[in-house]
Amino acid sequence: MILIAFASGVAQGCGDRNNGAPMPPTGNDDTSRPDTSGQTLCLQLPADPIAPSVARNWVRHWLTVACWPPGQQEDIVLAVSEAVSNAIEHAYREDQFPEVVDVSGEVEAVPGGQRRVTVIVRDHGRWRPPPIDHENRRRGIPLMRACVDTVTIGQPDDDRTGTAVVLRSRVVPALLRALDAPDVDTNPSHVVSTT
Amino acid sequence: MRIDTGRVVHAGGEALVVTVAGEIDVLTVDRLRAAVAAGFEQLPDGATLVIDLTDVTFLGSPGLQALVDATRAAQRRREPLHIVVDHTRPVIRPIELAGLDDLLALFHTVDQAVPS
Repeated sequence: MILIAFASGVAQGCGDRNNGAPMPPTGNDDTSRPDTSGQTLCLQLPADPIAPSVARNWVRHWLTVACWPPGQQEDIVLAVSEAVSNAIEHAYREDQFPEVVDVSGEVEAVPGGQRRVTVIVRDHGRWRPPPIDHENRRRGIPLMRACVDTVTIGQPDDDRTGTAVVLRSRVVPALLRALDAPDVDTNPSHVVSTT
Repeated sequence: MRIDTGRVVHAGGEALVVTVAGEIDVLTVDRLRAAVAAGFEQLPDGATLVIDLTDVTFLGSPGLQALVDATRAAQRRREPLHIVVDHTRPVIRPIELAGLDDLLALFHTVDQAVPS
């Protein structure tokens, strides 16, 4: 059972703006705001081993539609895949309902005319500190930190249990919107094919 | 993910090549581990075990850990393990980000990975 909602258009987010995640620390000059012409990503996946691959496919598609530079796409995809893999390990089965992992993403405009994405991976398992000797986690978290600008891992602010990982990508150039340059592809919804 | 294992014989040496295609992550990594273990068991004396990742489209920390474990197993067995990555970014990038490009014996092509 996979429930997926993929919203594009004016940024809305999945329910509450930050999906219950603690707000990551921001610098004094960081005044990023949702890009009102950008797209949002909203996934709900089962907490089982298929989830990282489903998340990768959707994140790649979402970034391609947003005309993200291909080299930067793979770093973000890798970070999200690691976060979803870790979330699966946090999950525990309850009799009443299956565990799910929420992945939400937003494109943000950054001062200076650039863009970045913020992706939040949220599980609902009982909060527990990661086992220190788990090999994948020892590699997975440093790998995430190398792939994106900031990684914030913590217990969600709301009263639901679980872990939220907030991934903030590196900035990329803004989308070109020069209407007086006929040789520039100005259609932001043009899908760039990826191999 | 597809895995095939085959023997390659050159004038100067022999190799058992485990060819992997597709994505290596938590869903598929156990099959890679099993293929590597079987490769070590079947390896003729003096031959080199080669893992060909040229057609791998995704490599995350579960796969990286499998490659590290395979390399350590090869060191314990005193048998060579060569890993082919060519210049495919989906494989090179995570290896470099994880700082494993020194530990793993990396080669650009299968031909270069087989003793000659």
